[in-house]
Amino acid sequence: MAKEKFVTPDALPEEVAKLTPDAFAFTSVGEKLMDEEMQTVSRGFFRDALFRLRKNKAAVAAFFLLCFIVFMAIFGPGMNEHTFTAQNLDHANMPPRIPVLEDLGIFNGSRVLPSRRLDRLDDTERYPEGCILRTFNEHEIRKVKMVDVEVNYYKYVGADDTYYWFGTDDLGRDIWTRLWRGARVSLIIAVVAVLTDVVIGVVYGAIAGYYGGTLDMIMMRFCELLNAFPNVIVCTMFIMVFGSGMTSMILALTVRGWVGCARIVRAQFLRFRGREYVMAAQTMGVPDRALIFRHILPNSVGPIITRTMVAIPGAIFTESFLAYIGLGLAPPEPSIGTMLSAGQKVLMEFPHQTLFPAIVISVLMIAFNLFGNGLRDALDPTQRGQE
Amino acid sequence: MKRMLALILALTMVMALVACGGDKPTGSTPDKSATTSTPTEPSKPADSSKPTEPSKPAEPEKPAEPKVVNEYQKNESFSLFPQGSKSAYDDYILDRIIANLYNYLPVDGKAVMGPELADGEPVDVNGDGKTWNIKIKKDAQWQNGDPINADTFLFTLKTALDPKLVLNTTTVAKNNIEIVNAAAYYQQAQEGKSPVAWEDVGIKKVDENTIQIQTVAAVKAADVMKHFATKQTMPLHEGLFTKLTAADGTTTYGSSADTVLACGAYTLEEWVNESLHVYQKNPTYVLADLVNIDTVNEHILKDDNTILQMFESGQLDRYGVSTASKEKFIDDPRLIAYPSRTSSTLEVNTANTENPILGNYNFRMAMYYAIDRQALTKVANYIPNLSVITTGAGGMEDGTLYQTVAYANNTYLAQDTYGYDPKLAKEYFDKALTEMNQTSAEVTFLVTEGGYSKSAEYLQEAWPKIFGEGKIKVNIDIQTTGVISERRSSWPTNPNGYELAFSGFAPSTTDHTPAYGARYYTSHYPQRNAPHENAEADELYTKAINAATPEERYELTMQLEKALQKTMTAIPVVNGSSLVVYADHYVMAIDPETYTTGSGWLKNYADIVK
Repeated sequence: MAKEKFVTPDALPEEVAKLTPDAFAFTSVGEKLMDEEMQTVSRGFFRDALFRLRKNKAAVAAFFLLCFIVFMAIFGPGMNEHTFTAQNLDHANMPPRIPVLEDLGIFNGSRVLPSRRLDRLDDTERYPEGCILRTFNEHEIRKVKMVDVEVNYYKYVGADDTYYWFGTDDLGRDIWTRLWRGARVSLIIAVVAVLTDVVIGVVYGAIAGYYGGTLDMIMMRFCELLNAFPNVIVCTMFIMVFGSGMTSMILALTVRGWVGCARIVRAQFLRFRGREYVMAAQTMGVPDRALIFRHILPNSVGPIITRTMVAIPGAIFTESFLAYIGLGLAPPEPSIGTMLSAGQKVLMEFPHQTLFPAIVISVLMIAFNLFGNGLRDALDPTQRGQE
Repeated sequence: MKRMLALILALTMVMALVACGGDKPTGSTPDKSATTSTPTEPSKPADSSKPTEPSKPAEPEKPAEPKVVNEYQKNESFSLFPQGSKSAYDDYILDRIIANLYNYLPVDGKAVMGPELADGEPVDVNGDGKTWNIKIKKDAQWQNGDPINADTFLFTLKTALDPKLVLNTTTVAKNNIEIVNAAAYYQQAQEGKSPVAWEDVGIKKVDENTIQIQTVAAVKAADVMKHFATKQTMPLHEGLFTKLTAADGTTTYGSSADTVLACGAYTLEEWVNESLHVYQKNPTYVLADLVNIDTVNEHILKDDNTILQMFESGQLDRYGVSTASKEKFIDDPRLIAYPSRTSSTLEVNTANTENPILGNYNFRMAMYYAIDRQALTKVANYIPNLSVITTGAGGMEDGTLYQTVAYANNTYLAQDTYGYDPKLAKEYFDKALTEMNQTSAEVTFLVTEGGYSKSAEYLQEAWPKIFGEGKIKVNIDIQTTGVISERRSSWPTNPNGYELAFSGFAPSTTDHTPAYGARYYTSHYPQRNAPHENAEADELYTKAINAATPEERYELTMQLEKALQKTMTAIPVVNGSSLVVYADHYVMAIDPETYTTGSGWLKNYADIVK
């Protein structure tokens, strides 16, 4: 059989056209053939989220702020010699005094004592030597000469060798120690309450979403019923009945806090339960529990994490609010809310008692919210690949 | 599009600001609040530099600027029905608007008991001190012109003693004097009591303007006057009360400015709930000449910071100095300090079955000796106190206070240290643990936030140091006033509702019979919040309030206090102390040096000077 020419010789270069079949040989016979290695690094969902989170500068800054507050909440109370319960009525309402900064005239333990009798400023029993820094605003009240006096309050009360970095409260307790202890307590309450919410919410929402039908309808109507009661009223009544304390507070925050999480998880389950891979697993006889927790739940992790991060500041705020209306933790345990509540009452006289807790709770709330927003964007699958 | 939206929003805001920021009221209705508040601004002094021009006719004299005082209260009143009211905030308004037969009146800078609606002192008809005629001034009248006469007081006293109404007016029957059959009359509805006709009660009408009071024992005119100077004997307007009261006794009398009529120094012109009370001088008041201030605006302000700011900016004429701001006014010559009527105790719920150590006498004595009352005065505005009787209680004609005599007679335990003796406290504590077969104790204070919570926090820290670390655990349960009230008052049915609670008792009259200050701790006070079972104290209380002379009353009251120490179910802690500053232009009706808790400040007769 004559060999067929299947290429027009005119179309090939001369030397190629001259090649005979013998010039060719199989090069990979007996070798295992594989795809060429990818040049780019493969990224999973969470690695991709982390990558995008890192690009969000506000979220990163918030993360470091949170880390700082958590660090201070753990180690802050042990940073000086005071304890959070130790009282000293002779050192009540001391102004802040911070080493180094005091040399710059900031937080130097000075305080203005308004309307003091001018003729009694020489009384060294009342005004120990060197405690008066300056006098100003001379005025008369009922023909008595008065003057405002700025004193070094530490010398004034005879505690010159003592430092209360953030000052003291009305029972002479160190605010620095109590503030970080309070931040710890507030964080513990918030985190435990929110984690409890998540556990209950995930299980409840998963069951409702997976099984659907009448069970779902009954379960979700119960959620709506629970949600119909205002949160503050539920928490208030709860604490009134069960008394004040950390456990009561956590339970009060959990009573209806899980409903939101349950709704999110249910929505995710409704979305995923009809997918082919779920049906395939069902066909293969995978039990419901494994389907729920191993196959469908991982798809809800993103929204759950986002919700958790947003719920924590909400819980801190609710705890603070309850403390503010007089339903806080049982003394002597401080929380940021109880400190704010006590500080607000003396805001005009001793603003430092409100200032420091207010700064910490503000930073905490902003940081959690910024970080929560960053996480939400990072875990949003629709944002993937847009950077 | 966004720019347009922003522009529209900005325009809307500008228009809103312009609309809200006008200086003059745009409506035709005059601004009532503005007219009442403007007079507080300092008036311009007369310009004396300009020579007077004789050729011009003299300008008509300007009417005197009305005198206005801006006051405040921290809580709203509940009811202005004098015989049914319960709170001190009710009393404050009632003092303004309702006159009484007798009252404290200013005489040469002192508060002196004298006739207000009455025409002169009570007259001892038979000379035996048991039958007293009280004549009512002929010009006594309500703000609407209706007369106040003998019928008014007969109706009032009959209503106060009405067995169906169950009012808190038992002191009408028996207080400074005991009226014949009055107690039997209001108690007749109780089981086992015999019926008593109103005609048998020692309250009669003599003529149109005179009533007659018959007393069980011989009394003095001063006792009769003090008896008819309390809010329980304040007159009721018969027509209005009958109109507003249902057959079952429920009434809306005094529930608003429209449901009460004034006969006192002021009329209540406006009552905006939880916001403002406006009083105007009552021209029909029998002692209108003594009233100097035309208008009183009384704001309801709860926050101390707001009150202080308003006082400092001249919007208030009085400021009750808080513990926190005490240092601010410590040198202020305007500062007035005086003991309040409230004597505070630590009440022990000995009925609590879950914590039986509370029922142990030695444990209660341990708590008595473990309270550093002088230290507590640094926690709040307090006066250390070892007595259940308020610091200002008296009754002697020379003005000697009860506590002065009681301390001089060593009535109290360890009084040189105000009862504080940690060593003795530990001894009692150990004895209590041994008796109760316990190795440690745990107690819980039930308190409100901001009330006695700081005192409880102080003791929470102090007691483990006295009794030994690990030997005692002190808990604090912070609850709202309503919850505390419910848990405490329900001890007979729910004995485990609480363990320890601070209690302040402020009897309305202790300027005659100091023993009234101990009534709460006896069975004579049925609504008490703890089981103060003490038969000896009950008996001594009865004797003390019925004693004829002040010396006897003092002596029996001291014995009563010693009897209470034998059970120590209420541990005396502190007496309240009040600090107040008034604006420079405010002139008090009495000299602060002469103040007594019984008389008060006679605010209705204060004045304002430029």
